[in-house]
Amino acid sequence: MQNAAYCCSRPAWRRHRAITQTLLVMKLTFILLTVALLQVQARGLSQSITLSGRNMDIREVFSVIKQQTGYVVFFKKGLLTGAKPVTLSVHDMPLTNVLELAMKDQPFTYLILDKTISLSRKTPPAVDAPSGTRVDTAGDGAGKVLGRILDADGKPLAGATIAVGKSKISSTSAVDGSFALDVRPGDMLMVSYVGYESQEVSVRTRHLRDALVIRLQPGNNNLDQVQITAYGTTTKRFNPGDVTTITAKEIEKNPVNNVLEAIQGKVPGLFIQQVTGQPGGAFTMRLRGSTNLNNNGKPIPPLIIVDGVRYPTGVLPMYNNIYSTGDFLQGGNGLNYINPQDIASIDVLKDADATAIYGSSGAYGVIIITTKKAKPVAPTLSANIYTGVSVKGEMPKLLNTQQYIMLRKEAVKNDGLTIGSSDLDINGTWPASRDHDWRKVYMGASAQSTNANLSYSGGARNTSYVIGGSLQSTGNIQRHKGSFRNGSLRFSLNTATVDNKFNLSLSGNWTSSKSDMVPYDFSQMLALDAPNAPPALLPNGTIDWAGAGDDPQGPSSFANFNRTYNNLTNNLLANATLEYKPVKGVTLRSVFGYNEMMSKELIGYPTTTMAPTNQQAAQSTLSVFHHYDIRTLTVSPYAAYERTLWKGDLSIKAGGEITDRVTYQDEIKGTGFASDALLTNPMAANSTTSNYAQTPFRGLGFYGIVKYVWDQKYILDLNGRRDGSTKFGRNRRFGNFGSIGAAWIFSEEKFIRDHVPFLSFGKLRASTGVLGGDAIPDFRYLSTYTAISGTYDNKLGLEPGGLANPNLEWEKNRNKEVGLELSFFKERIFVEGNYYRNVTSNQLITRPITTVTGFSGYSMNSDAVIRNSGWEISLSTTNIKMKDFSWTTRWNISIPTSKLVKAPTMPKQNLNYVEGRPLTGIMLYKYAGINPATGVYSFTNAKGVTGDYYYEMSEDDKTEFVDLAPKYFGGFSNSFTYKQWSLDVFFTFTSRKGYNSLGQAGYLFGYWGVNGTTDWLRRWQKPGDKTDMPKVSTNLFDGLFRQNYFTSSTGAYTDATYARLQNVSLRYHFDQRLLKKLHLGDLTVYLQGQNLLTISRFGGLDPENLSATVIPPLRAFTGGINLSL
Amino acid sequence: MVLSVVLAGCNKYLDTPLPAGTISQENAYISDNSVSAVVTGNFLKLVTSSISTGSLSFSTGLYVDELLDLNTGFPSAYYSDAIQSNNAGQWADAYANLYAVNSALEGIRGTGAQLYYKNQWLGETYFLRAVLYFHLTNLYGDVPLALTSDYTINNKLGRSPQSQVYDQIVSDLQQVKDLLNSGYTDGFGAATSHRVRPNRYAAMAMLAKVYLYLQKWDSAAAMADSVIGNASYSLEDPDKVFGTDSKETIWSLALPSNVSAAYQYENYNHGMPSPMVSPDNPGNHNVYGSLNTALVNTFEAGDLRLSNWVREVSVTGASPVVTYYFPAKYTAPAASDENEIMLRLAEVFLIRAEARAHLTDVAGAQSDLDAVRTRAGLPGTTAATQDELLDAILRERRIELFTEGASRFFDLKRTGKIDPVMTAFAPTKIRAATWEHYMQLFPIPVNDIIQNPNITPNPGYQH
Repeated sequence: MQNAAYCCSRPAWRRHRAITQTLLVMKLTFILLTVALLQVQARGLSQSITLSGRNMDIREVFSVIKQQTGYVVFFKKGLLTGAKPVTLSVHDMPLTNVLELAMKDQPFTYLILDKTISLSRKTPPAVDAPSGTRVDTAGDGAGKVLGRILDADGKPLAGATIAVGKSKISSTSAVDGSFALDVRPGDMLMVSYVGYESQEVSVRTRHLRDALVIRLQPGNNNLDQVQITAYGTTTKRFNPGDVTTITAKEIEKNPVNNVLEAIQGKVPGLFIQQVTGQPGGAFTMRLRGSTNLNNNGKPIPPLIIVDGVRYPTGVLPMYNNIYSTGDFLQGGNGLNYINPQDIASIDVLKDADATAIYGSSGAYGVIIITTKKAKPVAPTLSANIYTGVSVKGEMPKLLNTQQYIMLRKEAVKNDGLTIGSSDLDINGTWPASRDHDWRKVYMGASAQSTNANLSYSGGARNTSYVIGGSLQSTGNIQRHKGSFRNGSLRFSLNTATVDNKFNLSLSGNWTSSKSDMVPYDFSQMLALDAPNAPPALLPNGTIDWAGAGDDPQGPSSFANFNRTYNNLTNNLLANATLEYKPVKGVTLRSVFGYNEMMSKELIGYPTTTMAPTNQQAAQSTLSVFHHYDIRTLTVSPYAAYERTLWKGDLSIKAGGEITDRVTYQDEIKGTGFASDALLTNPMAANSTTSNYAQTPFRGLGFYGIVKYVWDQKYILDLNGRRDGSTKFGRNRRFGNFGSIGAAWIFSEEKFIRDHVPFLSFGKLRASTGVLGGDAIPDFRYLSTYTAISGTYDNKLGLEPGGLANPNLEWEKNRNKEVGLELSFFKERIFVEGNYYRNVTSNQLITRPITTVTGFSGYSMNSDAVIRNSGWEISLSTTNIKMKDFSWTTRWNISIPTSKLVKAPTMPKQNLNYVEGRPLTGIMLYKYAGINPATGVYSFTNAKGVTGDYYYEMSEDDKTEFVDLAPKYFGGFSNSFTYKQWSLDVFFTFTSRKGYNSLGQAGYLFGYWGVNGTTDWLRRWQKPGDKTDMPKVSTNLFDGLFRQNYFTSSTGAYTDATYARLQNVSLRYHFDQRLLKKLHLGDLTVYLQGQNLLTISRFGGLDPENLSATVIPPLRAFTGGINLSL
Repeated sequence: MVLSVVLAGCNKYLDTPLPAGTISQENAYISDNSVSAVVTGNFLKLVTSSISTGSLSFSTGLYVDELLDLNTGFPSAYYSDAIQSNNAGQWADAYANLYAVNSALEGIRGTGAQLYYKNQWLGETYFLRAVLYFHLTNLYGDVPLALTSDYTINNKLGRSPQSQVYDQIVSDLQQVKDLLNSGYTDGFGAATSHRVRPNRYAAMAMLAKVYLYLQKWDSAAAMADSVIGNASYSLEDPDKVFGTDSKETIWSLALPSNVSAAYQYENYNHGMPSPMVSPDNPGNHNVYGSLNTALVNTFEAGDLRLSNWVREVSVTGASPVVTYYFPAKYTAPAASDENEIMLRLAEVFLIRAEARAHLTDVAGAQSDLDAVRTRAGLPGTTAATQDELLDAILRERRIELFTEGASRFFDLKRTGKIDPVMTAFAPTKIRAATWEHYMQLFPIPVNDIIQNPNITPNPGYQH
């Protein structure tokens, strides 16, 4: 509109003519719009030109452009005077390129704004030469500034925000980085772009004549980073809530399958634990000590929203029994089925202000994941390909044969026994010269991983698109074949009407994942065989049943290699966002999100898993087909209204959210197959059983948000929400939640600016609110009957479900937070500190009752009170910033504490619920060390008497409380750039207690055929020995009983504090000039490593997954290339 | 206005269908079809619980002098006569069944739907309630008398005196007598030859048993008269007693279609070779109990029941030769060929014999006892006095009814013989047990004592 005015007005544009101007503008706009629409109709949204001619008049070229694209060219009278004739021969060339060619030698340059091309006199920006007559210098000197935003390499940045001072006037840059704004000389232009340092430019008179070129430097700036919040976006600067944003830039550095591994340690307050190193395995997450009495102190995962739809959190409904993947993938994780490279940003919403708008579901925190969306950029093809190897991670050392035999013999001697005929390992039957490292045999392989991503994106002003695809393959380090492979395809499309009033964006992401790994975690077998046991495998890798016959352990455990598994998981994510801006300040928006995750597992237990002599083998073969499907639809329409009110900006939003989720599970299990080849069809079995389950869930919410930012200094944010869920009965279905957040940007106060000049930003914020929780199974409020499997005399049966409690209602979380954000020396140093205090009441629990009621418990809201509080501090500094070298550091730490303020009132208390203590701990026997006289565990009972107890203590003797939650955790990263090189080194650290390897040992060393860790070399040998390892003994029962107490004692828990070099990424960016010669947009080659080094004193066990029987996180080394055309 | 319409719409949106396989309580009582499923469900629940005959016979058989524990490494707590108060199996199962039964009674009585077989549904359900309380009170003595499904009431119930529990049992069974048909009906109310749901005579047989336990000899004899006098029932040859066509069956529990065979068959006979070759042992074949040799020795020579109902398995290669005896009343590997028999005519004869003996009808008692003996291929009894007869009847019950429910345990208790018998027998068990008087009642589960202060423990047990 204003362009039109500019072009058509006479050079002297006077204020008092504004009304006439406006009318003219409107008329013209109408005509232009009509023209443009007609053009659109006639030619679609073509932006390419086909044109050839020698020595054409430039006007001719413009006329063709108008014809072919609908773009109209405006210019001031006389501007074309010095125009040179143009010679062109282009075919289907993008408009911008044609313009570049046509303008190359002209004395003027162009800017594309909306559907118009404006011409202006070309002047080198560095030269302050007065020229031209574009500006009306009369009055206050208002005029239009035209400019371009470029990155450090001179490439245009599309979508950068350019705001005029503190006014509401702002604009975003176009595909070629261009923008136009009405300004007055002396105004400050604030230019910001995600991932770049903001820049302030003072408008000089000359800028009104000559194009202004602003180059943004890649930044370490947190403040103006776009943050995605509930139903909208904001920047860190103006957010009164606590949100941490991780962008694609950081995620891309991690060669991982699950994005959670990439953000580990980077989000204050969010504790992420990789449960197993198996590709496709489980993760747990806990945001700020979210705990629930029902969960036995286990973390409840935060709500995850991916592209507007509620995404499956926690473990997946995979097949789970003894034959299963339950142990092997530990339940899996939904985010394994989203390619981390497809993710644009992850926003973790933490305090009441940020999460209250999710009302019922926000109680345990909210994670918003946004996939990469189309942006208006010049057409670009980019590829990112890496490949590498993964090897096993941290594992304790096992005894070798010599050590093993020595200790076994000692065990026999300790028991006063002699070596018998069945002691094959030490009676000479198995040679002492044989020394297997079973770990190598079972899981010593290095696995290949490859990841290839390809995307094509482009677009212009009103329409942009991206199409991408990826292939990922991660091998299994366990013996015998198998890998986890993902293929994904995605698209994103944005389009808007010319006036930008209606906006539509569509995106879709389809991931198909296949896993055929051996469905068994061999870590559990590692200690279960003597190092000199027979090899059990023939040279060709198959099982040597005959040769290994004298080893009861060997063949059967090796036979698990022959289990078969095939998991096909498809994940569809689709999103449609419609936006309509009928009048200024009003936005109507509706987001439709859809997710369907479907998995088909086929688990086989063929005859080859059993000894060939087993006559029942065929009868015992088993095959399970398990299928689950989680379908979620979320629709959230809302209306927003924004206006300037007095000295502030007011925004009001009101909307609703509807969620509909159905979870299906079905299963066919067949037993007894005539041939192993038939295992692929469970129905071919001798007998089959089947299972089917379908569980619906629906949620409904209405909300209102009012935000007021006064004078860029004071921010007030009010959220209110009313939520309904099918988890509660008709009368208790709805709950009201809400929050108040306020912030004061005190650095904007004059007295601070005057007296503390080095403080570039200071914000104090506080929020409080009430959130809800519904962490109980569905339909507990309703008395139900379910079908019983099996008939009675051919008649069907029903049985009553659990006890119904129609009075169940929402849990209440009262959250409070205070935060301080400080930035010094032009954001060279940024510090943020938060203190939060969340009080949970009305918790949903299963209260134990007398079995006289027919049940052992029922669901109710308890009177327990849990308090989670803690500190989170993050610091980022730009240590060195020179032309060729920079060094930045980021560091964060979270110190969570939790406390059971009031235990639930019930006659029988869970022993581990101790008032005044965290909910994440357990009561244990007091371990008194190895008795130097006897060499066995000793304990101190409740009476304070120490003895070598092995059956005399009861639960009442558990006097010690040990908290298992992390005491603190965080991350520490350093980024260095030197010329074209960049290096990132990232450490995570966690301090907590863990279940040590002696505590996890099922048996004490000495029982025949069971190996142990090298810790046993420190065992007690003779009276008077002071050590931490008991004597070795062949007595299984004694060992079991003593071990039973030990595993429930303080001795079994040791400090598992660790620091881990989680990620190292070394990249080389090729020089722009070279790239230009190669006709490349961008080229980067890199080396990355994941989980490279662990520093801990946790006895060789991995201090992250803390388990001796589950494969620890893998170590990965990759190299890759990132390329765009 | 608009708001209320919107809110009504919202509520409607949240009225989702229930998960597949689940229906709401109201929908369970809308027709004969659905009520039939509820009532049938109660039978299914009972047959798979630890108080149906198979499982109860194993635990109580080990507890008294009926079974030997073969799992010598970890003998069962029942076998060691050392049940701890954390043992909640039978108690929790009985009350879980009672919850279903009480819910069904409330649902059937409360439904507005017209039920054509309402009497059958009520009768069968009351019958189950009586059977459940009969087992509960005989295992635990005074027990909470839950007569509704309301957990707010049941969670606070104290223990009712045994007499009151029996009053309820008798009153329930008297109702059943009037509610049920004299013939057998199936789950759709149609006449059937399958005796897997109780009829009027099952109620009377159960009443006879209850009166016997209450020492109401007249009433016991009278109820037994009605059952024995009915031509539908007759004693079968020993090899046919436990078949599905047995005319001797008064009430049995059908095995669920997804169960492969009777519990006793699975437990003692399934997959076990005969003879076994040393060093094999029964535990390798999932067999953890065998018949007490003293019981086997109680059989008289020529007793057809020994050859038909007891399986002898010797271990070859062992010296001296070891022989195990296993209950083999149920021998069919297929569930459809056998039901778990809860009440049968032979027991009713023995009930009447005992009642008559107490009523000093010696001839009548002898004839009833001989009815059972003759079928077993044995000569008439030589017992002639009341005391002799009572002893003979108890011994006959031990042989006739071994491993059928808790019959041996309950018989020893109600005849006052448990203390002398067990004091003598307990020390011969592995890890020599010591019998004490208080042990004739099982301990009340500790959880319930903690949860509800109105529930007192059974004396003698540590809590």
